[in-house]
Amino acid sequence: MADRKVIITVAPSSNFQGKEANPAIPYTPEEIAEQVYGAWNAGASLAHMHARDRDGHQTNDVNVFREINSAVRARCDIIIQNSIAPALGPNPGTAEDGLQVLDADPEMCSIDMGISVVVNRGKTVIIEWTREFLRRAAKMMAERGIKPEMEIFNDSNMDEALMMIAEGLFTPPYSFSFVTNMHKVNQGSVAFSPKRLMGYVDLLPPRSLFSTLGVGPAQLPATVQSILLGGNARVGFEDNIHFSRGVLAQSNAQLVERLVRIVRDLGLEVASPDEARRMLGMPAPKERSAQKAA
Amino acid sequence: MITPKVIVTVAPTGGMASKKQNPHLPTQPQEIAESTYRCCNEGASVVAVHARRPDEEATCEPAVYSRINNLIRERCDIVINNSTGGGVNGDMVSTLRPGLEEIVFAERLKGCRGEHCEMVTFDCHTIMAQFHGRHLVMVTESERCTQMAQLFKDVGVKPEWEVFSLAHIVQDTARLIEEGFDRPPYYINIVLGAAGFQGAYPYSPKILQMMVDHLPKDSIFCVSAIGPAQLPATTNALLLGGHIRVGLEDNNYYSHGRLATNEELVARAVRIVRELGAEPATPAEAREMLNL
Repeated sequence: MADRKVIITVAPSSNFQGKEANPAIPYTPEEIAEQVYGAWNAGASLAHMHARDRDGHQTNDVNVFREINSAVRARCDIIIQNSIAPALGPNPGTAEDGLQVLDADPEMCSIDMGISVVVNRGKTVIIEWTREFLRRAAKMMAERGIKPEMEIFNDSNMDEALMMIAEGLFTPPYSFSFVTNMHKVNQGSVAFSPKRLMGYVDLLPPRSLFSTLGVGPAQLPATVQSILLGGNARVGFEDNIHFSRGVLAQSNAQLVERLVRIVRDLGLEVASPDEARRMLGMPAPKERSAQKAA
Repeated sequence: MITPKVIVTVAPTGGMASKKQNPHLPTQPQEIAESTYRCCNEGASVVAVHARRPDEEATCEPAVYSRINNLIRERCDIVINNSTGGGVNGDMVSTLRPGLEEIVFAERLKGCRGEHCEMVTFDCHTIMAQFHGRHLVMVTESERCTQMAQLFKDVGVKPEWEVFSLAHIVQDTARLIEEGFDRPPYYINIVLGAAGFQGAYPYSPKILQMMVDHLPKDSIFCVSAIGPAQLPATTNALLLGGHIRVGLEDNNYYSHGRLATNEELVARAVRIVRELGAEPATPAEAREMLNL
């Protein structure tokens, strides 16, 4: 492990669990921004966010995302990443609905690299992240100057990512997010194991950065293993609502703080948002606004 | 997944390091016992002892081990492990021919005879150590492996199977376990990053994973790693469900350029164990887990 900076992502809100599972999960733009600010103070440099409407239901409404992104930016310089996942509320949206967020001016968006079959409120939802959709979404992101983060749920998603890179649809450095241990709610996702993670890392093309998240009790081992493999890490309520077995986490910041302590005990340092932007080949926010204006 | 109780071993002295490199290195019985006691208080449950003569050079003399072990036992109930590798000077070496020294087999065998010795390191493989222009061979061909295994069984000490490469796991270690020289659980100490030993593997997550994948059935494992590999390799070991060893024997530094003490290295290891949701085993728990 050479001297390097670790990018910590916080995923403060959730497309699945809500306040019924942990009342500290933020819903409104202000609540989300407050928790992101706490996580930023603790050392997070990237925020991956979903949205909820006034009734507390998941939403893809671009206006809500705009409010969230503005509220976050008013507080800190963390990298703003939005999810393109369809809102899994009482009336689940479609993959297409998820693309509205591209017009909320995020710096990054996640792009899930293959069809997902999730269990939402006891019902199966098929998210049609088809090959045609992924290519269109990648082009739309490129047109808007949005840096894509490829979410990998299984080996076949990895192959899709490699094909799309070969097709020139993404620009290096490539940002990968390995989603592990989501198998209980997402058919086609895989449980966390160090070996599976190593398998992904072996397949990465040159000039790739990766981050790992682990759902539930896998959050801690998956993120630490990721760091030991030379990668970055994501924590937060979206992936895990507990601090330890049977003990709910009090805030996203609490989860970030623990990971930062481990990073420092390992003799490493966390990246600031600007350092993270440089590592990811992204412009500073000011530069980005100027580019957009031109 | 991390095991709920982690055996943290401290290796306070070793057979190669010197006070010149790190003034905190305990080499005399009283110093070793005091350092061990401080480490036990920080959460270590096994101590891997190397003995030194009054001139600081290495020995496996039972009288010296007995003195160290007794001083440790007066202070705490930590599990006592004595080295049968000894070291690279003092009583342990003889010259085979100009430019080639040997670690003396007969001296190594003495390492299991100290009072209060519960476990011994068992290097059942041949190693060529090369450093500072010196070449030292530690010859343990298969017959010697069997002889050592029989001796440890007769004396009633548990072997800590020390392995530096995959071959060390799948050859004589596997054979001797198969032949019944140890009782389960077999305690395998995977040592990585010993760059001065020809044939020893460096640490990488994949190398460690591969070695763990090849452990004999009913094994539990510990990971030790040399120098800057100590911290990532031991943390990785925890994620794979293993136990860990830290201490000045393996690593002189707390961080880049900053000399360590044994208790600092143990305290950090225990902190990481707890951050990961586990607890360090007490010596009594370690004895139970090791079936001592």
